[in-house]
Amino acid sequence: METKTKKNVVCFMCAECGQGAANTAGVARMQYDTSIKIIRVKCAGQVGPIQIMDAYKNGADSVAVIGCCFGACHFFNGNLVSLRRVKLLKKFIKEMGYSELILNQYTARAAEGETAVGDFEDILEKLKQAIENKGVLKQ
Amino acid sequence: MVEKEKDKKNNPKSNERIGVFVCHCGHNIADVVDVKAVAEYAKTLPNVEFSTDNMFMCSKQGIELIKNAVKEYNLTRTVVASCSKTQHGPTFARAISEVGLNKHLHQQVNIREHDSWVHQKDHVEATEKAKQLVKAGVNRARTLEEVRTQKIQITKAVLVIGGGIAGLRAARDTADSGIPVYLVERESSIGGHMTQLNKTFPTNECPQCSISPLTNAVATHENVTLFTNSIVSSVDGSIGNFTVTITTKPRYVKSNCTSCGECASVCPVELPAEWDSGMGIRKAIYKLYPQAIPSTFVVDRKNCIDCGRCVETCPVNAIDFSLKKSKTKIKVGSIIVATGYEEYDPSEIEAYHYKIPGYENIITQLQFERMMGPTSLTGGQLLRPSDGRIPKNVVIIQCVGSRNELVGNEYCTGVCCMFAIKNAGIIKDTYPDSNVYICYIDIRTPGLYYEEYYKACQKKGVLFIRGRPSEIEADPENDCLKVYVEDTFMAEPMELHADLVILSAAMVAPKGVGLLGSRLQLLRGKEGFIKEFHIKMDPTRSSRDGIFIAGAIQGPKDITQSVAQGSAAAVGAVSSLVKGYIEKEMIIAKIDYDLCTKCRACITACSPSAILWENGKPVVNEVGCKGCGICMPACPTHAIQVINYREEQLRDEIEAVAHPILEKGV
Amino acid sequence: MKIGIFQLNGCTKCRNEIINLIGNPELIVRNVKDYEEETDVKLIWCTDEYNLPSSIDIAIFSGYATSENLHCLQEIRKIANQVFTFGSCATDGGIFGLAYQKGIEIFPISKIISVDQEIRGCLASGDHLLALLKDYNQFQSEKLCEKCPRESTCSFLEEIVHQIDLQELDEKQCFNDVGYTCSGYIANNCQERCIDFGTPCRGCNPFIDDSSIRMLGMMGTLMGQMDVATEASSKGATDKLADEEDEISSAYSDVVGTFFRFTLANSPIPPGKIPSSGNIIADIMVGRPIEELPLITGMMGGKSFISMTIDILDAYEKGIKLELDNELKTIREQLLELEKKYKLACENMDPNLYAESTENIRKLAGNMNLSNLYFGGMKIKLDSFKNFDNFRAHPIPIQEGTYTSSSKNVTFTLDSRGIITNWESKNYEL
Repeated sequence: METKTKKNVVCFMCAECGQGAANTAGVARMQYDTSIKIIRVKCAGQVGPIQIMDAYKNGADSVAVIGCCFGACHFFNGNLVSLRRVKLLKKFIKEMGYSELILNQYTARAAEGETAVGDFEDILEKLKQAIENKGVLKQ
Repeated sequence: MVEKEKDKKNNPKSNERIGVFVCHCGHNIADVVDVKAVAEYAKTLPNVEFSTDNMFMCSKQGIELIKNAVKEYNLTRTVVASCSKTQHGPTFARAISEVGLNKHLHQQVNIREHDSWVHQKDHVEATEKAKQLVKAGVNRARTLEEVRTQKIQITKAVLVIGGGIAGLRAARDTADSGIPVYLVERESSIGGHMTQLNKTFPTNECPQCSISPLTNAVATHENVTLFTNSIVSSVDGSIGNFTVTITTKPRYVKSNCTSCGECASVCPVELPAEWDSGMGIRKAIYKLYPQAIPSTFVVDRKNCIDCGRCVETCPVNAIDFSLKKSKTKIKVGSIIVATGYEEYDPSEIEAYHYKIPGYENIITQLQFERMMGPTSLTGGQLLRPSDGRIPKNVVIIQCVGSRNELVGNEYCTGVCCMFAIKNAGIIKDTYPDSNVYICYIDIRTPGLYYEEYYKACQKKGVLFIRGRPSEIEADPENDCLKVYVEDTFMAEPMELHADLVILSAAMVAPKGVGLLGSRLQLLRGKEGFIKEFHIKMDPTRSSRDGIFIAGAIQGPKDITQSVAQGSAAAVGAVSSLVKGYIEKEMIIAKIDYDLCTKCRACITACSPSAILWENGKPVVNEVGCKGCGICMPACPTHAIQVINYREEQLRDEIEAVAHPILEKGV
Repeated sequence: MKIGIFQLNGCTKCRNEIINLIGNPELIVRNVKDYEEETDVKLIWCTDEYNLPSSIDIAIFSGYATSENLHCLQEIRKIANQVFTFGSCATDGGIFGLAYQKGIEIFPISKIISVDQEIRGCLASGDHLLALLKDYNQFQSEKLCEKCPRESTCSFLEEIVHQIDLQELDEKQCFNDVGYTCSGYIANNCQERCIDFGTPCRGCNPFIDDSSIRMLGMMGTLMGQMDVATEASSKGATDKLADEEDEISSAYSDVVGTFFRFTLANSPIPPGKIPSSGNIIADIMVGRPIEELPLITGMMGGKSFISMTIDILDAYEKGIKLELDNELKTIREQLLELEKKYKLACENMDPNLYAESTENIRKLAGNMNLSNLYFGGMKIKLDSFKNFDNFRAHPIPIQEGTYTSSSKNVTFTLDSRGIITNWESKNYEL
């Protein structure tokens, strides 16, 4: 049986709005690609560069951190704190000559599944661009 | 099997016995995911001693299945692959706790919302993904730690900071529920800004009449201890048990004062009254306003000339200059912060010349309210401060200090439109000959009866000009002020001749809030107001457990909203106290001091301020910690870790999830 | 007991540091595997194309490995009872690992063969090695940050300050509180202590894994307080974030060089895709800001570390027309003389001359990384300076252009942000 690997995206989604939106999307049977895989974390602020690099190391093509809307973090400002780290790590990836489109941060709203699905579609679109520009980490 | 051996090598020490249960959820999962294949796959994973599938794991029969398997196979961890953690995670956790396992040793894997429901057309890939998620769940379960639930005894008492309308409402509602309340007010009397107002919109009611039943009730309530002339000088502890120090400035008048006022009548010192926003005069011995509660007089020692006439005059010998500053230590379970707002000082906007000599006829809305009040110097008449003449032309300027990036306040205060409409109407009612102009950017009147009130004001003949005045210039020749404004509807520059200008100054955070905020360790927004925990869902909770916020300290509000938030904060403060204890699952941060470099980054990062610097090292306050984990990436040496969200534990899960899944076989 | 010392690629400063151990009466080995009793030591300098002895007890590696060394390393592992890495290059890829950004494959030894003991540091400490050999089990290190005289408050960062803006620091003030990025939090005690010479730590000697990524996480967290403008994405589904640069994160003009200076080759990311120029020194330098150059060459310049650093200082000073104080000129000349002595000591394996030359270098330049040297002056007053106020280092401007040293040994080009875009240098003896 011939097999080939496909795109592979790891999304860290916070236990509040992130998981909420993904669950709402599920309840509404919104469809998205199977390459999207979700890891539940307590807050976007918990996801550090270590976790993001771990995901790349283990085979992720693209990583996203998804938290609550700004000003609406359930742990106060975890999403904002996370954003700066993501920006800094994006800069690192860019400086290494790879595409910064393989790392993203988004917000989601628990009551609106389409926010999560929209995020996923955006991630895949950006990943497609990154692959076209030969900017993904895997050769 | 090769994989199993490899993984075992990676986890040589684990002796855990894991049970995996894969749910069909009727058709919901099984129609898309091959649940039997997933359950079979789970058997190949290291440490998995038992694996099965079931139609409905959440049914009574499913729960029994888990319980029996735990007993029969001596399982130490359970993994259920079904719906979301929020939906049935607690159900399964309870099940294992009934057969003797700590409920945190259950790991929930979501293969419904995150898999079968969202990949309905792709059975093969959905099954592969489910296998991967189960593998991640098993990895995660392997290293789960027991988490204890701690019962924390709490103090049944509430501290309310601020005796304005929001604080009074909160104090009254808390006290009515039988819980002791300590109410701290910085001024010598309670009541706050509302007592300064002349009328309230949209009914033009007398505010004193509305508020005095509440002030009286609070002051005489058996459950309320009132601290006026006092501030909160230190706060220690965390939810359920705060130790608070209250510093009380001496009044120099004992409580046997009968409020007869003889002392004030003989006092030779005359000063502009702060409560009257400078529109009235008080003595060095005074009370804020006639209906002030407590009605005991207070001596302004800074301006007192020690003539001693009041001491001689007082019929009950209540005046005593030997009184000293006192400190009171109290214990409370919750704190409500309701310190209100301050009126923006428009002198920052140079073009308006507020408070500049020659521009005495520019006043703020609060000054207007005080001038129109029945007890004012003018006897409730609108008179120009410069010459005491009744003004013919009055210009009201909106958005002074709000919606203005130049002064740093981008927000809309929200109440000044109604404020201005009310006062314009009152001027027109009292002086029908006068011309009243309101220069505005947008008129905002959301809410029941507000738009109607606006319409009524327009009918009275108040003129609305859409434009923000660029400058106010004195015109000594015509003895008036020239207001330059562009009418943006007509695109026409205008020059209004005003006998009196009223500035609708913004509501801003009070000056002392920074200091208080640091004492309470609360986070504030860039505007200076104390930030709510969640803008929609938790507007009365602060960033710290056990501390609630009410009224304009959270952001500009009108009386209705402040009162409502006061009540809501009271419920929040009381609800955690009525039981007498709180139960907390100790999913909290732990510090490994061998790695810690004492850099304090975790203290900076911790938004609920649950990490303190004690004896030369950071210490996690176990009661205050919310386990959010923001401190984890902040730590440069991974010394601080949240239980069950430790770096290694997350890594186990990431390892399984980050592998690509196989595409359909060709 | 036989200890084999192997020099791989890159600079030789760490290997030279071992010269200190020659004839050192304290060099006795205890508590190393199979040697629980005190044992005499024989140092074997394996320089000659790895003409390997039949067996050795401890193999000490300095320098980074390339794919050409694969076979050789595996052979050495076979005959060696224990393998130590000595220095940042051997352990993490070191400064040469920065060429990894340009796709050059640089291997820390541990990526090829198993390593028993890692001694980090750039320059690695000979005393550290000696202490370790003297008693393998008892050796303990202490954290740099805990012993730092500066007091950290670690509050949220207001701004990022660069070395070139050289701010007057209080003796007690933490670099990070001012806005410099200092990696001292993750550092072990080190011999060179750049922090004592006005130079923030770049973390050559971390005591934890993935130190660079963790520092990045920490700094990112401390930059946490900001306002974010959000806008709906094209799908109207979410807020658009993290794409545009903001003030603080753009202030880090060189994330790689700031956080990953010593550990890039050991990081989880695959080799970078920035085009290589073919010259490894150029690959290290391109992309770095001008203010970091003297600090880099002071560390990786091998036997020419002083002349290389002074060439860079001279090139830029000349380019921006900076007048130098006479005493400073004399100090630099003395340093160049000392470099010759240092070279001689290394070639002759003369521990006495080595000790004498390094001691004198420290007296003038602060430490063996030349941390005190800077454009137009010195950072910190040392006892050996007479009129320090005349050549106290000041902030210098960033000027776009091409700069060549008087010796014509170094030519580099700066862009408007002060980042090196082109580098040419003659072959310095490393």
